[in-house]
Amino acid sequence: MLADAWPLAVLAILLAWPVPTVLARAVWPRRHPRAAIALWQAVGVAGGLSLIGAPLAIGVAPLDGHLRTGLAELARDAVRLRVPEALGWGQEVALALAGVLAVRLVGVTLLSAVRIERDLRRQRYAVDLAAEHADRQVRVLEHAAPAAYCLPGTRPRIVITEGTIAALAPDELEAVLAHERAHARWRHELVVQPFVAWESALPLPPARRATAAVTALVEMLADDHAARAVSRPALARALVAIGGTAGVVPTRRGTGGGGTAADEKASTPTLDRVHRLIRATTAATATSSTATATAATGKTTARATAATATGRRTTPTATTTERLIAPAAWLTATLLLIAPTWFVLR
Amino acid sequence: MADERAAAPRRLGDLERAVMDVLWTHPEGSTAQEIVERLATRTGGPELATTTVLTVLDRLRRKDFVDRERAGRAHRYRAVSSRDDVVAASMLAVLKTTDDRRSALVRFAGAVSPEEAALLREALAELEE
Repeated sequence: MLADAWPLAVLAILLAWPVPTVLARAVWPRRHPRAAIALWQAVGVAGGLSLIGAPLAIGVAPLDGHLRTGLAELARDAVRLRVPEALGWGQEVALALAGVLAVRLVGVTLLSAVRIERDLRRQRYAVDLAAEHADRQVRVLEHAAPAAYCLPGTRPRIVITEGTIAALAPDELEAVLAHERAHARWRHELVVQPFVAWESALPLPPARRATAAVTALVEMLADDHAARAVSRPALARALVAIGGTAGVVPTRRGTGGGGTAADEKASTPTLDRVHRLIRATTAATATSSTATATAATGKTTARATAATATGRRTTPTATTTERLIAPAAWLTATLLLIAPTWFVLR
Repeated sequence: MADERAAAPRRLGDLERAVMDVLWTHPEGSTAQEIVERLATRTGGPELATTTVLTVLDRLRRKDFVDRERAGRAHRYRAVSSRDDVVAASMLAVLKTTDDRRSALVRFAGAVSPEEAALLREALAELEE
């Protein structure tokens, strides 16, 4: 009877709570931010679809255990403006729930996109007018507090303040700009915004954790770019210089009891990012010194360099596992999108 | 004709910036004619058509950066808020959002507490050893 309903319900529950919780706690994503973002996106899409699909399947179960044919039958009845007699009140509630969820998810996502775009347009216009220096992409604001951010879009603006320029050495400033350029170029806001929208549609802890995780991962992607373009130490120093003084900027936070919690959450990623950069640097230094030593003894081989290039001094087994993490994440993401679709359309 | 005004701002965005600059340096307000003259003095180039400046002022007014009041037969235009206030408001809009989620603006570093600033510096010292 409930053929499609159970698997979908189980999937919906798993993706709504335990999976985001576990994924948010995992450590591997900070080493493979791109694969982790793909996995989060798949969890979000599959989670949303199964969350709507499960009550739908439960609702149409008396007509047909198969969701697709059951829906078709329901639609045929609906066209004739008739409620199928087989539906009890439980099924009607399930169908209504599916409808409300679908409308809410789609509606809030669209509204949020419109609202964000309107805010951004106003912001871009304001910095264009008020910037004291401007080149094609960068706007410099005359303000003593250090701040750097990206106003994303098809013509993104990278905004930095006089305070930022004053607080940073040239290579640190270059690292900050490279970081923001990475956000702008790869349209990272398009990754983050759907999660923000879903969080406002379903304001539950897992959605909050997902948004926080994806926001942090996007920062790490930009960090990796800046580290390649400039240098890890310069970026780490810039993070400390700007992150370490950003508290000076007057914010509305701290007025309520929730202020401290918000502060905690907001700041932990900065510390995380510095640690991540430092760890990678020490690993890279260890690797390069190993490589130099090998070269000196004349035993250097391309393979040895390649083996240490992973930047981690681990046992061979751990290295193999490490290498499998990213492909496994990609595979899981793909399966999460394909399997439920196939299951419903079969 | 437009080509001859090499020194005058030509793109609409530049024109808007130039007009706002004039309004910000003259908080008492200016008529369109005065703006035309002040722009010409700044760039050292020929005067723009008053209608051009009026068009720009109209755009700025629709976006709430400029308002005007009647002054005899003309209007006196004024910046709604000072340049510093526009900068501050614009930064606050980004920085006040709890870890850039609400507006999904991607910013370099989140605000940190003094304790965490200390931790950050400690972490950095570790790097420099």
